[in-house]
Amino acid sequence: MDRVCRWLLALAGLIGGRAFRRDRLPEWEGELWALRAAGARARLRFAATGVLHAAWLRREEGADMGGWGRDVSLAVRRLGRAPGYAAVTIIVLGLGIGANTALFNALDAALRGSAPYPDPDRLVMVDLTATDRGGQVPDTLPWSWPTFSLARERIPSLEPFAAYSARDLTLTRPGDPDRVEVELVSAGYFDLLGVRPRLGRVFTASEEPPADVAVAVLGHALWTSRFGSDPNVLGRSVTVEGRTLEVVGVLPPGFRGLTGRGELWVPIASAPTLLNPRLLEAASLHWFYAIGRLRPDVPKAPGPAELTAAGAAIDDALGGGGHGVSPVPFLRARVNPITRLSLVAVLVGGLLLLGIACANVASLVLARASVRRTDVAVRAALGASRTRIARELILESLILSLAGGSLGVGLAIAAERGVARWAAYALEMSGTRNLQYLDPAMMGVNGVALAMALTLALGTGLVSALLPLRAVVRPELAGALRGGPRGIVARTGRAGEAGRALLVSAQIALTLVLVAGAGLMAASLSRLSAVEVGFTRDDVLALHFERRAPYSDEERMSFERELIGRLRGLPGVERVAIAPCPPLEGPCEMAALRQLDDTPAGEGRPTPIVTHAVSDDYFATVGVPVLSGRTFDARERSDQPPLAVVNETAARTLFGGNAVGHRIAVTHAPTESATAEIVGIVGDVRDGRIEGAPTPAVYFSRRQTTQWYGTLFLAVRGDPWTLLGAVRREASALDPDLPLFEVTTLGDLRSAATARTRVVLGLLLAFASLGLLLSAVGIYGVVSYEVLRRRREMGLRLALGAPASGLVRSVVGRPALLGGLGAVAGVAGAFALTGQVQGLLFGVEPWDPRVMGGATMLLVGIAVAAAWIPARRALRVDPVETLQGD
Amino acid sequence: MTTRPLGLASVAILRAIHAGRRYGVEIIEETGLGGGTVYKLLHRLEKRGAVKGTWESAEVAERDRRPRRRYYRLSSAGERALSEALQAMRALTQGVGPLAVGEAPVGEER
Repeated sequence: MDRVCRWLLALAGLIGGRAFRRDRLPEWEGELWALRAAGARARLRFAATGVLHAAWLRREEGADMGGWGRDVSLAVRRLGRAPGYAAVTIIVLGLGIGANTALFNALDAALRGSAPYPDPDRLVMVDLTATDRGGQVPDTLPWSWPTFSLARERIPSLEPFAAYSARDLTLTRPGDPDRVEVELVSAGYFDLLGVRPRLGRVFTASEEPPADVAVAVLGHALWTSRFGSDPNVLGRSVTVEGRTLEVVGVLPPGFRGLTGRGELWVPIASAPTLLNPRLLEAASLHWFYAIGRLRPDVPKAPGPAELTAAGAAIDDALGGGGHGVSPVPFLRARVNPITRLSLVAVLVGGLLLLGIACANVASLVLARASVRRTDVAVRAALGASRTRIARELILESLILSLAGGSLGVGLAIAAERGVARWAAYALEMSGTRNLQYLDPAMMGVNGVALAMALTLALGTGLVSALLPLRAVVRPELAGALRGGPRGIVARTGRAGEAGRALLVSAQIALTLVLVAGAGLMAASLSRLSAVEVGFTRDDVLALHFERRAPYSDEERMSFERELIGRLRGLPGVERVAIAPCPPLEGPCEMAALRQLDDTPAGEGRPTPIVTHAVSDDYFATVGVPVLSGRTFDARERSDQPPLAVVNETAARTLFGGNAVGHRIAVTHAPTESATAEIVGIVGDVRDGRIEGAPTPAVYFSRRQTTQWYGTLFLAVRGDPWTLLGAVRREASALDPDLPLFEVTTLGDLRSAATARTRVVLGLLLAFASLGLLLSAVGIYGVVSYEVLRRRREMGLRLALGAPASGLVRSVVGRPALLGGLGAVAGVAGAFALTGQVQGLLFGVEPWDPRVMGGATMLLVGIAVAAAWIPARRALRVDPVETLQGD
Repeated sequence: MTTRPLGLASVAILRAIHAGRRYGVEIIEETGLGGGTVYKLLHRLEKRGAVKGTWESAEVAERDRRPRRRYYRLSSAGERALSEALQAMRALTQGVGPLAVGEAPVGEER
């Protein structure tokens, strides 16, 4: 509160000027101190009084000061006499500036890919590539520990070269059990990112695999929440996944790791005990990513010889596979192109709106200037200098735009949390390799964003004042004076008129671009909504679970069967099933076809295929149609040869349609060795992004394969969320340590798949509507001005018997021409800009003729309507009245 | 210098200073006037020479660990203006009886 008071007094100093700061401000500070016991409100009121007093004093002194102070006060008073005009302008500018300020930091991060680490341009992401997997050759893979160790030995130009991975694990002590995000990292990780522990130490080289150490480093937030910021926390313990780890260090506040989510850090050597016993030995278990820092003597990237040597060593160890190692600059790897594009699209929309607002303010200033023309002419005749007159106009415009800017900043700050929530919902926050890309917490309005808002406001103010300036400060003196009050509208400078008309054209052009952009997003959304996601039920609750060692496959199978049985008994539950992951969240188990019937598949270039191990009732539970053959049931036994169900795309691409009875084998699948017979074909379900084409998939029975993780699906009657508590109770009755997390519903997944498109569309639509409104106001203004200007002439012509329709045409003619010009320019601009955002569109080309045509028609329609209303007044001109007016 | 007659609020402020209230907040409390009004009038009174503002010595403020205060006192012109104003008010209210503000038009001496 006292800070606010100090700010207010500083503001008073700013308003009051140098003399006030020297002679008066200390007095106010002393008085504020005297009020220290009077309560915050009284002090606040007192400080605010100081601001008013400074302003009053300024005006009081200004009376004999002349110059700027007086001009400012005059300009404010003049604006106060036209409150409608001022309010409209301020609101319009505020919206434009607010939109840009609110998103500025997000865009800044998106464009520069900046990172909060020292010398981020010296950091390199290192990928493992292989040619023996499906997909585009070579494929990028995460690392396994054996391959990573081989590469690290052979690439000395990266020092340190570290591994990282993140898992959501269960923390049971101290405090209540909860899921925490744990980063598993190798020793050089913290060094490489330039992070020093606040307390204790980070991991050492002696804690690398195969050492099995039970240590952990706490993130600052966890240290605060679980240990009450205990300075003697070192040596105390945390329990993760049932294992007790000794706390050896605490990290500084703000550090959340490369994933941006880390709360607790453990050495990667603890992966076998925390996650899966085979995780570090198996060269084929690819599960983490690697990052290195270039040694100071290495100029730009690791040498190709080192990379080739590493690839060859991995091939040797794995017996082929065409492995390679590929470095990618860290800053580039952080970028998520689609997210960047979404932000750019929204920002460009905001800038277009600001441009429209700017043109609108300029034409308003121009209109006011025309009205004040006589006044200006008189003053010029009496010897007022042109600079003085120009200064007044500029001041007026600057005051408006600064007020608009303040409103915009206010809106941006008010919307700060909303913007972050929106971004987290609609945009992908991660780039590739589990790297954090945008941090919603960083999307606040900071100094840089404020400076940009100020620049925008000042720029808008100056531009909109300078545009009409020329027309105003060179008044045709005689004309303006002779015309008397009527002269105001009788003759204005041609330059002013042309300027206003051009501004209207510019508004139309900018609006058209916005409308076209919104139209394209709308078309994309309608195509996206029409995509068959492959499942028909939305009222399905999905919960992820993990059940790690030390359970045997048989135990897992019977556990899952019992869990399904218990949940099926809950009231409201219709069906229960288990599959690896929910649809639309990305294929979670990728494999490659090895064999089709008796022939090896895809020699040299294997076909990628998604595998799912599903329980009996899965297809019926989520609503996937069975197209041919049968699906799994209780007949399947783990000791029999496996059966497979393929999706429509796999049946079509691999067997030309009828796949039932054929056999396939896949690599990297739970049923690695066996050939499975295809017994059925089901409809395609989108595993990954909704925008992508359906990919081949194969389903195995969970009775013949097991996985230590899975997703429970519960098809229910009514609202799925009401069942969550009961589901958790049943699950914990069966296994109190079973974590159920990432709870969602299929309906939510379906709508999340179109969230980005909907949000970008919503914003562009809002901008476009405002733009349309402003353009309509602009056109309306120009035409009514034309009618007003030619009242006398039209009265005369009507009196002489001219047809009214001809008069209307003559009034509307020029605005129509200008509108047409604006539309042409707008279509050209739309072509140029929408081509850049093609990546955001789905099923529609950037130059879609229907969208472009529709946008043009809409704009022309609105222009005609906005012109027609004032034009009709021309018809109602009463010749007698106008002629008598003289 | 203008010699417009003093307004009621100005008289109240002069009277408060006369009664020993020395700085802004004290004057505000004494007169019950708003902060804006008090400072505005103090500024005008100072300009017309009725009131003189002086900064207290830095040592005193330092000793009390607080910012320096600006103290106001009446100039001889201020004293004169106050007594003239009070006299004028008395003359105005003469004979009004119980409604009269009497001896102390504003702010009782404490």
